[in-house]
Amino acid sequence: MSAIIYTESLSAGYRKRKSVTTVLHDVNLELHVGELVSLLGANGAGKSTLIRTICGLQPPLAGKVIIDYKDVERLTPRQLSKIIALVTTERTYAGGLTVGELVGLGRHPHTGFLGRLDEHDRQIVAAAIEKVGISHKATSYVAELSDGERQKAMIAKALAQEAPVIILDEPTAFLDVASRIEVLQLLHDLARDDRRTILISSHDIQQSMALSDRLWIVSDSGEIVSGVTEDLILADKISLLFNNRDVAFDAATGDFLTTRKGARQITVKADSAELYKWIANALRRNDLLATEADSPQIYAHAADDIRLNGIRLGSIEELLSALKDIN
Amino acid sequence: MNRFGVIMIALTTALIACFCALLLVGSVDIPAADVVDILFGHDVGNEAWRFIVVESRIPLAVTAALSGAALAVCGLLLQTAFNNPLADPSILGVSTGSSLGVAIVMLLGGGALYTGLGGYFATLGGALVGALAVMAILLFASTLVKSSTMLLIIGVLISYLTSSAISLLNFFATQEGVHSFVIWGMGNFSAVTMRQLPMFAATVVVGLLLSLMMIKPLNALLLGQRYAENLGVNLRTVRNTLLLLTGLLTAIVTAFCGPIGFIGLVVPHLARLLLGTSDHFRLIPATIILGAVSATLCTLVSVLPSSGLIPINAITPIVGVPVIIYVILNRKKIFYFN
Repeated sequence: MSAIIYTESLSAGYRKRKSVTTVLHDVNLELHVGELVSLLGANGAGKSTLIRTICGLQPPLAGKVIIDYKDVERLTPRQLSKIIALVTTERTYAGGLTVGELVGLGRHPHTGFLGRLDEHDRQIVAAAIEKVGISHKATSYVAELSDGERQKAMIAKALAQEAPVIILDEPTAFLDVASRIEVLQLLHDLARDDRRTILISSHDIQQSMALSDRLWIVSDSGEIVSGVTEDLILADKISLLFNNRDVAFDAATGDFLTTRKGARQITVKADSAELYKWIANALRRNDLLATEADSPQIYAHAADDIRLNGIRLGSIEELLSALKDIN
Repeated sequence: MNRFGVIMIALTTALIACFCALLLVGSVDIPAADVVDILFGHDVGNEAWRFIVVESRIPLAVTAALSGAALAVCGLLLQTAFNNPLADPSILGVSTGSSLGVAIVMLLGGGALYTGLGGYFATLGGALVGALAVMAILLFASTLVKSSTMLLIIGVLISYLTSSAISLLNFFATQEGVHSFVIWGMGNFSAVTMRQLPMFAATVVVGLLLSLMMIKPLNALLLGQRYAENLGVNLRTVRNTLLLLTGLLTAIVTAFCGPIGFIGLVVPHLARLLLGTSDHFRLIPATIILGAVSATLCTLVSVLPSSGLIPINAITPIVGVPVIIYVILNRKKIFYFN
């Protein structure tokens, strides 16, 4: 598979007069055509720094970023704008433009001196707006959009740019849950159906695990591991995100748990996986660690039929108060 | 016809009306028919009238229209470049910077202001250096402070500093020098003579044409700097061009007419509200014409009394302040703020 972007021993960070702050060192990564890649890392780990360096918005401290077989530092802003389209959470001042005009700005790398759109440009703009599903808002002012619609409009702008690579810096940071899922699903479809290469930095680990072809995980120490999502999960690389923190990732359930010392074990059996999961959830909150057993202390047949040592209880509420009485 | 076309025709009509009114109205009553005759070069048998129309009213009307257009465009460029709706040459201290340059040239040149071609370039040079110095400081400050309010405050502070330097210069200047400087500082479009007019007009027109070149990058800047850069805008080039352009336009207007307030601040807002857009392709032409209309209208008010000219800076705030207060109070509802 061909890598449209790759880095060679890249060090990224900031240079201010004589002091150099290296955020990431010796990074070797590849971005493959048609893949959706999620860049995960704690706040301040260097996600945005890496993205800015890859986009050519800040020079590397050492090493190289190669885009389409060319060194990013040798590309002019205009050449770059035809390869990488950017979506950020940066504040915009475009409230006074219509959605169509905003998306039309994405045509800038292809238009002439005054930036006027011809018929071909207008078709691409309309198609981009259609693709992100906000055609009904095409003539509305950007100021009238919800946060989710605004982010979709920015993605449409990136599509209109017709760049093979779209890089998004925390595109879902300010969105509600529903918009978050919609936007990520949209990006996933764009990678799958349009063969766009998409890199997202994100905090939304669960969504990223569900929809990304690959993960790039930035650890606190400034190293990056990359690989196919499930390979990294099974190799327990997700825990790199929580170095020295009281959080653990349960690869079996895909859940994130706080690790607390002194949790007592209790044996549980349930007739459905759903029931088991939520009973375990309630127990965990009360410092009890559920483990499966054939002759359990808690046997749940239904939500209103839970047996604790053979005594029937009508709800999880009753179960919890019964457990408290035992202690 | 679309909204843009209708508004442009209306504005152009208004500009022609104001311009003609400025030729017809003044402290000396000249019959309209005679004014028309004089304009067409006919002899009306009154040399004084001919002199007033040709040497005073024509330069006044042209200077007012061009200055208004120049200041309004400067305001628009600054508001977009700094992403700040309250930016304009006078608030950010660019005009005051020009004033300081002019004051220094005035003092060093021993009052040689406005005399001959050398005086023209010396005054313009002083104003330009002053304006560009302030613009450079502002651009540098904008890389240090991210908040646009803070940048505005820095502009106001620069204004204070340059004002204090001007006061010091005044303190050491002659009585006549101070008097002419104070009069100049009140703003007045009648200082450009017929002989200087071609040079003045050419400079402003070139500046206005250059502003049309900025349409595309300015539109990209509505998305913020990183987006603009990603759309292929060379930020450094655009910033430097904006610096030179607003510096040049502010400098030439300030050098001759004094620091004129509010036109640069208010006109871009009026243009955006009228057109209902932030798209510079429509906004820049509309701002140019509307700036010219506003300045000629204010000048018309200033020539109404028979006893002489009211300073322009006494009129512009009366029109400008209510508009700005309206904009500030309604900023949640006004589309382009969101």
